[in-house]
Amino acid sequence: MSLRRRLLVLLLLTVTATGAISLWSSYEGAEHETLELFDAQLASSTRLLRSIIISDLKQKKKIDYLSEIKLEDRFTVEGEEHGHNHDFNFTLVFQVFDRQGQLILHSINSPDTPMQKLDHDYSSTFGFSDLMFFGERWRIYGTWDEAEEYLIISAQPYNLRDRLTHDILREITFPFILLLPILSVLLWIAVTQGLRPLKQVTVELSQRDENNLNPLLLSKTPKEILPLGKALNRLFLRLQHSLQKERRFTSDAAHELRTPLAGLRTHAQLALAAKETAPRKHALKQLLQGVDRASHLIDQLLTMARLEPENQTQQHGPLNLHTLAVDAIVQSTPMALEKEIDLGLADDSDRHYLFGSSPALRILLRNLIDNALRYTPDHGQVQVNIVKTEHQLRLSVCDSGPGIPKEEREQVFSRFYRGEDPQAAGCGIGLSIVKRICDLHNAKIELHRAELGGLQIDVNFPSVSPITS
Amino acid sequence: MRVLLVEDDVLLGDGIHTGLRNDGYAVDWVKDGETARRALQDNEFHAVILDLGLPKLPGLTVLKEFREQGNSTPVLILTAQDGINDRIGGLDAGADDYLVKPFDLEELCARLRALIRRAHGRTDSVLQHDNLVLDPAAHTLQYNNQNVTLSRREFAVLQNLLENRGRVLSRERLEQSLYGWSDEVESNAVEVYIHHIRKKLDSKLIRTIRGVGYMIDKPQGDAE
Repeated sequence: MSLRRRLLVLLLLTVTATGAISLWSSYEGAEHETLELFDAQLASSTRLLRSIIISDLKQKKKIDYLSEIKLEDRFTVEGEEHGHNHDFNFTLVFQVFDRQGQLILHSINSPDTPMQKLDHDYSSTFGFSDLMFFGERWRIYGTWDEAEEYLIISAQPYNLRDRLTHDILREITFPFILLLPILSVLLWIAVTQGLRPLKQVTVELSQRDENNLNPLLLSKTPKEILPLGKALNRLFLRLQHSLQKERRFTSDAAHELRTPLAGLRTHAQLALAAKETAPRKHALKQLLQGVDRASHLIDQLLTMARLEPENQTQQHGPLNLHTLAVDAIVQSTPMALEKEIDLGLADDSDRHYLFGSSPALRILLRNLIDNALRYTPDHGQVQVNIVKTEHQLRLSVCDSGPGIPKEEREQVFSRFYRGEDPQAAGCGIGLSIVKRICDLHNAKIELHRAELGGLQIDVNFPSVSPITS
Repeated sequence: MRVLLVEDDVLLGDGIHTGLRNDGYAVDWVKDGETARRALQDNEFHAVILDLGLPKLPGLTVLKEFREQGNSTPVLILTAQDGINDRIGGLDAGADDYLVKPFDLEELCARLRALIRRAHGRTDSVLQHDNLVLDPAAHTLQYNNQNVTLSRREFAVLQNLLENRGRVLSRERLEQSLYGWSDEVESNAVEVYIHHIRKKLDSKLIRTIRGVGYMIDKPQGDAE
């Protein structure tokens, strides 16, 4: 639903509701006033009738009033001021009772039985009341003459009053209904005008191409959409950073691939040019090795890409570091056997659970152990330790290799850094992958000199909980 | 011709090493910037092939220092960066030529030949001396319009002497240009090669300077 439509609907609803309430209260007021007016008129007409009839009754003993008094008068009030003709038929029906409750006189349009059952003391016939007869509702007024010899009850149908109040209602509702479409159009224009700054931002954004990540100019932006604009600008900045990072990485990766490719090409040419078997075999062997290394590099690059935050879909859950370490060591054992390296695990962590992503931690373990094996000379030693300290779980991988000089320890986490020893043929991404996984787990990574003589890499995982069965 | 190869990538280094040796060069291969610097200080090379991304000391630093010491040996740089700025940086630092990885091994050899040729002040790709025509690129030798086959090292000795006509080359220097550090030097090898060359060509072509070395005379009429 568009904001404009939403605003318009809300505004119209509000206006209509307010209008309806005001109409209703006007109607209520009109009805009340009409009732009072008609009651007063009924009372005064009744009193006037009373004085006429009572005086007649006293002068003539017996009258045949029934035929003489025809009080079905038609009053026509001309509302000249308003230019309208109000046609109201002031029908008045009356009955006169004597002290004994005998109906002695009634108007010609009156029923010939008492309109109302009279009580012994006639108390119910005083003043105003409502009654049904002739199939409609009547307003009744009863009054005694001064000597309290005769009771005169007059009645007026309610439909008169209802007509009047309905007319009033119509008069005040009509302009409102008529105004509503005009009001809607005006509101539509007003809302459109009000939303113009938003539209400007929308237009600016929709006209951008995907490479334009410059921040929006917010100097003229109204304060209601300023937070949105600022959030967008922050998003643009983050996007720009991650794009730059990606571009740098892609370019670095491409360049890193060029060297193994150059090696492949060179050896392929050598193999083609070789006339004897031995040099050709050597070149082909180197070619194969080069292909393996390029594949390894690509694997590591893909792993790295999967660990980028935007690809972080895997869920973190509780996992057992011990099991993961055992798996990783089992996987690395062939390489250790080949170099006759003593590879082992020591775990005194009480098998604590760790909160993390097990595929990521497998990659971390694999990289750390493979690195250690790769840089450790034959017959050396690689030791994996899991230690539970007070608040954290520490994974250490130590080796008896050459280690890394203190001043170079910071560099090792940058992509494509390789150690001094060119024979160790790594691709220089392993430790950046490890660092990335550590960051994802809020784990701290530290490099030390190992007791075994080589490098010790500590990964400290925070917040561990004991295994509860 | 003795060439220093500075390349930290084992696979690529091995490939270039083999390729250059097949082309008759004596190749010394080092794998980091620091060793390259020492090698350049202590030895004389006909050309240097230098990778820029090196451990310990960046290739550009090695090159700048080398040039600052007034050394004019041709240097060909290998780079994985193909940005124009990288190339300009390399050339400004004193490189004579560059190749972007991955490159063609034959192109590398051709560029190296061109560099060495220009370093000796030649514009012609073929070395000519009287009725002798030596083509380093094609590895062919013609004597009196007849093709003569020389071994890899015989060819190198003859080329070296022709490049330095009118100058005496010591036995040690000739030896150095034939063998890298890793090669086993046969005793009297240079004498043997000279002997072979004399037998296959004119015995008066190469002159022996007793106790010093060998030389080929400047062509007659050539001003000193």
